[in-house]
Amino acid sequence: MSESNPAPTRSSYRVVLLGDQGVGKSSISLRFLRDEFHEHNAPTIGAAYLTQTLKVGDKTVKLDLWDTAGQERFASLAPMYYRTAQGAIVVYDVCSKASFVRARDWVKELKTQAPAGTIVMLCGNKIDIPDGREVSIEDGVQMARDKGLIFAEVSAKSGQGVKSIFQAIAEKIVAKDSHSANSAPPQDKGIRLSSNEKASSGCRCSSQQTA
Amino acid sequence: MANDIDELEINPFYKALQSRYVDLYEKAQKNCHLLCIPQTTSISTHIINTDFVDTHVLRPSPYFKDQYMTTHSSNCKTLTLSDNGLYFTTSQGFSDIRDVKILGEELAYNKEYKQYKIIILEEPFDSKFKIQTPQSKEDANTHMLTSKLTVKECTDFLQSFPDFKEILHTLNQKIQNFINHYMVLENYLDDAASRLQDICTQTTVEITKYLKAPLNSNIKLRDVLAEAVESYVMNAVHDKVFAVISSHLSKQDQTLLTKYQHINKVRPDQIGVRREFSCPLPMAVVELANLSSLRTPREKLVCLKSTVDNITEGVAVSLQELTQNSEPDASVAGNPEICITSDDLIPILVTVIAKAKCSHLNSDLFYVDHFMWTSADRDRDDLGFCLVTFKAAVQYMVETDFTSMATCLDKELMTNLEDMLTATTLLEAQVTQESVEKSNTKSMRDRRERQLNRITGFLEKTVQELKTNRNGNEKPKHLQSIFPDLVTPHSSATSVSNQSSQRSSANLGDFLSALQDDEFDQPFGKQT
Repeated sequence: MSESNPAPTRSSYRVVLLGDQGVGKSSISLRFLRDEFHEHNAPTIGAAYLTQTLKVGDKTVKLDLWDTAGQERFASLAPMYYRTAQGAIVVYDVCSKASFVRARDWVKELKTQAPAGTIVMLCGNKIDIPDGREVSIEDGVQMARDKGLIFAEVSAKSGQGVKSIFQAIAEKIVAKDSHSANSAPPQDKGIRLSSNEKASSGCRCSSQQTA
Repeated sequence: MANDIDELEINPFYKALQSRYVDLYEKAQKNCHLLCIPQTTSISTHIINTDFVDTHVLRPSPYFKDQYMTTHSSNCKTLTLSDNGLYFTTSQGFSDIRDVKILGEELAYNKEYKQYKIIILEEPFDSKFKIQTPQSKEDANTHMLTSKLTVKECTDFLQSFPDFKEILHTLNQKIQNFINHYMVLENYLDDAASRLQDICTQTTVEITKYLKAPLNSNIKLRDVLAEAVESYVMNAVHDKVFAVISSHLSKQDQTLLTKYQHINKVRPDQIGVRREFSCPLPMAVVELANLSSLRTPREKLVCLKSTVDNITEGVAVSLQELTQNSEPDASVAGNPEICITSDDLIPILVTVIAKAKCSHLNSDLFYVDHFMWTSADRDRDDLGFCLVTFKAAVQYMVETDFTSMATCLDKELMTNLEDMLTATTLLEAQVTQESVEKSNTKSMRDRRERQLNRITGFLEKTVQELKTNRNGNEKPKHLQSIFPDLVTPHSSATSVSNQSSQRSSANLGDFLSALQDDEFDQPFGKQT
């Protein structure tokens, strides 16, 4: 568990979800989980840590989804969660301007504090609410373009777009990982064999995606 | 013999006797022969033939007591029942001489109301009938590839490989060398960690050289071995290393200890625990209170995970009860989307930590964080998440001023005792249920036993504290009414500590149930 060696095995990746309380972080990951394998997953009450496998190219990867506390009083704790993550999804509520402003702060914080190379995604939730929108899709696209993030809008309630955000971030992480695995010397010393884990995979996602 | 009846219902040989070989079956019944039924998992349908039937229907030898003969029409074979009646030994006529264990026995009656016996065997008498699936091999492999947790399991596992003897000897020397000659310094704990890591890595590399094909290419086995080596080493050096860590972090640990007192006076909702999740979590508290008694980082980490699991379980149960008791239109009832997020988990954890009163939590987390190296992230990321959540909860506790929130009456120790009562009752219920179901006995019982012991230890500590707290400034009479046997100077600690590990859970329950009628404050759950 030493922090000097935080990288998990290369087929398992950590993705943290950041955002204000109430924007639906855990609903998004729960939706992702339930849509994929209803029959295997007994309804769970614990939503702070979830795990799901998905296919990226010909490779099966495991995503560990870490929910973070969104309340202001826990704001200082977030770095502990994203410090060892390969990806971060910053979630805001399209019906709450305040949550969008907060999302901007999260993105800024990640850019300065998270390890270089963390894939960051911006995600607007609750697009199923017809009249409540306070943040336009253009605002979201604009912020994503400015900061160089993947962007998507989803509805955790209807499930719209949920799977594709995880697919997109997984592809981006895998692509980055295979790239760095090919160029950098292997970190693991000792006995671990990992030569077969460098399976290459195409990355189909662009830096900006709209739902 | 409920299990045996079930076994007979599904047993392919017993079924075959009632269908294909019904004539032989009836003959056996008529003559009151002994029916020996190898258990279902040891046989397959296609090996059952007349030879199989004849081999497993036995008649007593007319010559020797405890000797039986198969019912072959010619060349019958002989077996001997052991004196204690626990197994048969094959002899004359069998392809090899072996002991076959008896798993159970049934009495049955034939048409003339005469008794005959049906015996369940572990496996067929003749090894030629044994199924050749790699079942047992698989079991051995599964065992080999399962992570070992406790120090004893790790040590036994390493010692189970005869080839490792020499390496373990060298390892012991290295450990002894570290203990005798290496000075662990507070500001150079990283150096101590890297030295110990080197010892573990080297040993693991050496050990894997001795593995024979195909085991040597099994990455999972290497991980299990590496973990076992690590636990073996860390157990040996724990006292030396942990003393320095806890001295290094004594200030932080002390700060936390004072925080616990403040937090225990605060209502859970003030820390941010949602009303519907606000419930006593005695099992989680007891689990976590055990943290300091564990010696290896891995055991400690698993303890953190169990605490989180117990929280989730406890909250789920309490929610279920809430749903059942509440009005149909109540907000909680029937809401499938209700779930514990990190915003919920951290404050709940804070209340559990404060109640468990871990005296060296900072040191424990540091120890887990810095002295665990092997495959820490592999397939066990939930462990990683639990560690981070604990660290987050501790940081939150350190950063937050709870004194301004303090509103609860000073009855937290009583509440702890009440929680223990709940824990004991829960455990008792589980133990009783288990003994009824005869399920999964030993390991489960051991675990329950351990948990009961932990409660005893925890109670001891709490009662001590209660005594110290109340001495002089509180009404002793009130205490006497609650703890008739525990308030006089010498009785409190001793009477609890006398509850040896053998003490039955029922007794502990009685002791605690005396507390039930007293008016405790209940800062969890039901307050408005």
